[in-house]
Amino acid sequence: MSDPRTFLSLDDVNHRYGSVPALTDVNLTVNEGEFVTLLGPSGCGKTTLLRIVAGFVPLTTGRISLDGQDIARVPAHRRPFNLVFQRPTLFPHLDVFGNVAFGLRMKRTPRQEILERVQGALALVRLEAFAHRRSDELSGGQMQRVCLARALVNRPRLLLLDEPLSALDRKIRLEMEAELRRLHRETGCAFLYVTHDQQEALAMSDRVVVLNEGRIEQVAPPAELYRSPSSAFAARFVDANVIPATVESNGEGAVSTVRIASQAFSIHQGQGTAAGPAWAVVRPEAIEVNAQVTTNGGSGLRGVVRDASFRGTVFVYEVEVDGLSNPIRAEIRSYQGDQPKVGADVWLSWRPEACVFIPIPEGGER
Amino acid sequence: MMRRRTAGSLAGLTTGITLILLYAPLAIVVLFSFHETASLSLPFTGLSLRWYREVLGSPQFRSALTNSLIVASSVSCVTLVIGTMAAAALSRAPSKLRTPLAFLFFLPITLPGLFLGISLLVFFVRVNMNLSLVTVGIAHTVYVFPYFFLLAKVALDRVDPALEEAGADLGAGGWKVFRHVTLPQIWPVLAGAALLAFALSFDEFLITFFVVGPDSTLPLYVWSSLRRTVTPAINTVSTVLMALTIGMWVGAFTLIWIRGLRTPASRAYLEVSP
Repeated sequence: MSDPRTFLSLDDVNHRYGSVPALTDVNLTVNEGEFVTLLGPSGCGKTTLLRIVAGFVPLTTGRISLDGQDIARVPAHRRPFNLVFQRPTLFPHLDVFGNVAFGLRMKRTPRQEILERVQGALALVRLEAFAHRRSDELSGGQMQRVCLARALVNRPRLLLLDEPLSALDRKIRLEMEAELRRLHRETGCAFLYVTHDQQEALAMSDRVVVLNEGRIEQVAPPAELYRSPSSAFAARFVDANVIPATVESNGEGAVSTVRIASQAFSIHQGQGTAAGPAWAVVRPEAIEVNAQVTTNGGSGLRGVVRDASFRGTVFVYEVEVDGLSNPIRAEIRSYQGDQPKVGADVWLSWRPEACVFIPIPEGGER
Repeated sequence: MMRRRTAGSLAGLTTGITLILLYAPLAIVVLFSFHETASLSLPFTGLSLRWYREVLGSPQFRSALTNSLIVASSVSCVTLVIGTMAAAALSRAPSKLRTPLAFLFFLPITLPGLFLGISLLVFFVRVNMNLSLVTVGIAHTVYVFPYFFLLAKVALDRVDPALEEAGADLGAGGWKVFRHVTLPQIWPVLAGAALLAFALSFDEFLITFFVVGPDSTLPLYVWSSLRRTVTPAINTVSTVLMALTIGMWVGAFTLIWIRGLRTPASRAYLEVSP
């Protein structure tokens, strides 16, 4: 509770499904008005965590507190949180208005207030004209917007979103991302968002919580997660190259040496690693691909282009390097001339500061 | 072409014969209920409402009809409440218990009416209950319960559990979720199943025969009047019984099928493929 704006905190939360641990020692806080994203692959426990907050999954051990009060025993319908599900969950027997009014009616809100707030909520998601449509007369994107309005109309302390865009088409998904950012700005409500899509997480959040097998790997703002992931898992999840390397300390100097695939690079001290085996994390767009030897202040890695694909603004290369089991991924802006072809010998290089080192823990890869 | 036409007409012929076999006896009963003379055989000499006047004026018929209506509507109401509660409870039971419990609730459907009648009679005698319309009502409830339960379970299984969670998330406690989320989606099937329970009870004979006391129900009245002299009045009583029962079945069918099960289930309908 160090941050005064923290209103929700989970302390040492553990959860098991039978003998399978779903969450292990999870600590998480949410501040007023904050957009927090739980990011991880399917089965990492992110939905379980969200459902614990919502009150649908009972807490096995640990604490969940709202404004310092323990709410572990408060049932879902008494928690001031509202949830938007993965797929639309509109009540088929009610029209759009009836769906949005549902929560207020359950709280016996006066009629006139219901009318005003429902209209306000529908305006917020730009569906004023749809108040009297039946739910089966809406598109998938519209249904999810109604679900958003239905949740936000209750003015929840925290809006919970369980992969709400995953059932939508790509184009609608991008529109809805922008819509969610706008709703977050306009309502000032705190959002707790679950996704397996790193693009979504980076695009929308104030803080991203990376979950792996029920454990939190890293909690960081998107830019920090992107630039300096703190674990190999987090790095891979944001599409960085994770290359096995060995750091060789050369004593006092400001520069030490690192070896990747038996080639030597120089690194500056303060890029933060002790001597020993480490993961070298390099963003694909930080890598330069050249036909001649280039060192770029560091050194070069020699490889062969195995695959090249055009992605609009960038070309994506998969470059095989002798001694590395996985190819290195590089993104080159597509308006630069002289693109190497598949099969060509190339030199990969990057500026020393573009690389982050993560020590490999005892017992190897995690 | 020729062969196809032959096959088609053969199918038509079979259908026709089947329909005639099914409906001709019923049609004859209805027709003779309007016969002007006491003759139960052809030739048909003329129409009259004479037997209707006679039957509807008979105090025995009236009391049997009233008894049947009282029993059937009580059975229908009681079954509606306990059947819905049982089906709702089952859908919340631990998943391991669901199949055995459902099986126990369905089981009476397989019991022969004769067996049910005798065992209920023995039971009522053991617990010193006087045989009356109350025992008939209890027996009928036991008899119609599985049918109602089956339909209520089908209706409940079609409700998306995520909608019930959404209801809870929006501030509805357990009962309110049922009242405002589940019930509005399943009521046509429940109402239809209650009508069906009414119809099943209304024309039930075998079980009633064992557990009825001094009172009579409409099917029992038909049976007892057959044992005396057979007059066209029997056709009239049967027609009344038939008309009410068919009306109930049509109502039940309309509610269950047209209003209930033919509309998309929320569970299947909202399944959006990713």
